[in-house]
Amino acid sequence: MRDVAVIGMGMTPFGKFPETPISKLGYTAIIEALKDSGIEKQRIEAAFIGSVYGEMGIGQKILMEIGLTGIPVTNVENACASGSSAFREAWLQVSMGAIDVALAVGIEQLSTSISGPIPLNLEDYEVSQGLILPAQYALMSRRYMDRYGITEEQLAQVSVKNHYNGTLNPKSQYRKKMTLEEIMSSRPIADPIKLLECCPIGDGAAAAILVSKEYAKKLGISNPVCVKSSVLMSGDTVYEPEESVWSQKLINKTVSKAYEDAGLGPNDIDFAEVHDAYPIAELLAYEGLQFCKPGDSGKLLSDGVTELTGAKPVNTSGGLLSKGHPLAATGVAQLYEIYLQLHGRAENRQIERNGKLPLVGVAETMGGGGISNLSGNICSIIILAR
Amino acid sequence: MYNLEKLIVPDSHDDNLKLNCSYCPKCERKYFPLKEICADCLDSLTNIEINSNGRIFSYTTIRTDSPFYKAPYTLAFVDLDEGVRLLARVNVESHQQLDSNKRVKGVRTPITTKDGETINAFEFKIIEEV
Repeated sequence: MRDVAVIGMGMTPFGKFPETPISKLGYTAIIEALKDSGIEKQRIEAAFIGSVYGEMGIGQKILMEIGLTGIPVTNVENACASGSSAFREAWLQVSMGAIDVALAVGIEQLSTSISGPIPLNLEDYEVSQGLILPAQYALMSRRYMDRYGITEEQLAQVSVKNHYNGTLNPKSQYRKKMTLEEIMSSRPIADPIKLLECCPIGDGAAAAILVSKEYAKKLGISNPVCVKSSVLMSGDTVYEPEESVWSQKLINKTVSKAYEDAGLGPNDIDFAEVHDAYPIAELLAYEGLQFCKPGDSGKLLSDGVTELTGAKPVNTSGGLLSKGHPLAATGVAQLYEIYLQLHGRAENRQIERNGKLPLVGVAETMGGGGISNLSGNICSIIILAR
Repeated sequence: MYNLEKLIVPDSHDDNLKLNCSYCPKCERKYFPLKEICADCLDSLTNIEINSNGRIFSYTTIRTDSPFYKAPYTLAFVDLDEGVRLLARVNVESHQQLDSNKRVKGVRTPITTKDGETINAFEFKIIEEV
C-alpha cells in the first residue's frame, strides 16, 4: 500500500438550486478541485462518482461537460456514504498502485425531487409499520435519554452548536444562528426530534483529487494532506434484543479499525466532522470516536469540548444540520472541511491551538436507515493528516 | 406495503396473541419478520408461532404524516420474551405513561391508511404491572 495525498479539493455551496443542472453542480466542484491542485485535467486516470438518487451514468454526464472522457468512470451508490465510498475507491486504486491520479466526487440534487423525509422502501416491514427516517433516530434518542439521562435540551444543543458554526461557513445551507428556545419550540417531527433538529433537503457537490505521495512530491508539493486510513463497514443484523441502539456498534467497530489502520488513537485526533443527520447521531459519534465514555457524550457537549474553541471541535463546517445534507455530497464535503482546516484555510472558523494549525482530522459518515433488522447500512471513517 | 396480517397467527385469541416467526432448527435462531433462509447456515427456515408478550426497548410518537399513515401514532421497538425484537405500534391510553421497559402484549387492531384502506394489523398494549 502506498501513501496517498489529497492535493486539491472543491465544493459548491450547499442549498436548494432546482434551476441549476446537476452536471453544473458536479463540474463546478471538480474545476475548483483541479485549480486547487494545480494539475491539468488530462492527468486524471480514473473517476469515482458517488450519488444516491442521480440518474444512470451521472458521472459520465458530468465529466463529458469538461471533456474528461475515455477514462474508467465508476458510479457509486452507498446511501449517505456514497461520496465517502467513492473517495475510498479512488484512495484504494492509487494506494494499490493501479493509478497515480484519481478523482472522487460526491453529488446530489434533492430539491427537484424530494420534500420532507428521504423516501424509504415501501415494501419494508418497518416502513409498513410507519417508520420514517427521523423516527429511526427518535427511537435511538429516547433509549439514550432513558438509559443515560441525556436531556432533550442537550440534544437540541447539538443543533445550536452546529448552526452557530454554519454562520461562519459561506458554503453552508443555513447561515443563521438558532437559539435553544427556537429549536425546542420548532415543530415536533418524531418525539423527541423537532424540525430544527433535522438536516435539511438540499443540493450540492464536492470533489477531491488524490495522487500517490511520490507523485505529489514530483509535483513539488511538500507536506500534503494525506489519507491515514479509510475504512468502510456494513451494519450488523439485529433480530434479538440487545442494548446498543441503531448504528452504534457499527460506528464503534469502524472507528476502531480506522484507528488501528492509521496507528492513531483518540488523543491524536484534533477535530472531527461527523454525520449529525439528527443530534443523537453526533452524540453517538463522540462515543464511537472514543472522545468520551459511553453515556458521557451529553456532558462532553455541555462542557463545550466539541465547540469551535473546545479541545475537540466537532462539525466546524456546521455539520449536516446547518451546512446541509445533499446525501452523496456529504462525505466528500466533510473531507473538504478537514482539508481546509489542515491547510489553515477555514477563515473565521479556523481551529488553532497556541497559534498552531490542527494536524489530524477524522470524518465519520453513516449511511442508511429503513431496512428492517439492519443496524446501519454503511459506516465510513476517513482520517486525514498533514 | 408489507402484508402485516400474515404475521398474525389466525386462530390465536387477543388474550394471548401469537405471531408467526421464521425459525432455523439447526442454528436455533428466530427471525422476525418472516424470512426464507437462515443467515447463518443458509438452510430453509420453518414457521413457528411465538407469544407476543414483551417489554418496550424504545418508542417515539410520530407527528408528521408518513407514506402510509396520518400522524400522530406511536411506534416502539418491543423485545419479546421469546427473544425477538420488532417494531410495531403501541396503543397508549390517556391515563397511561409510556416508558422504556414497560411490559406490553400484542393485540389485533385495524389500522386505517392515508388512502382510507383498513388493514388487519397488530399493535401493543401496556400491561399494568401489579
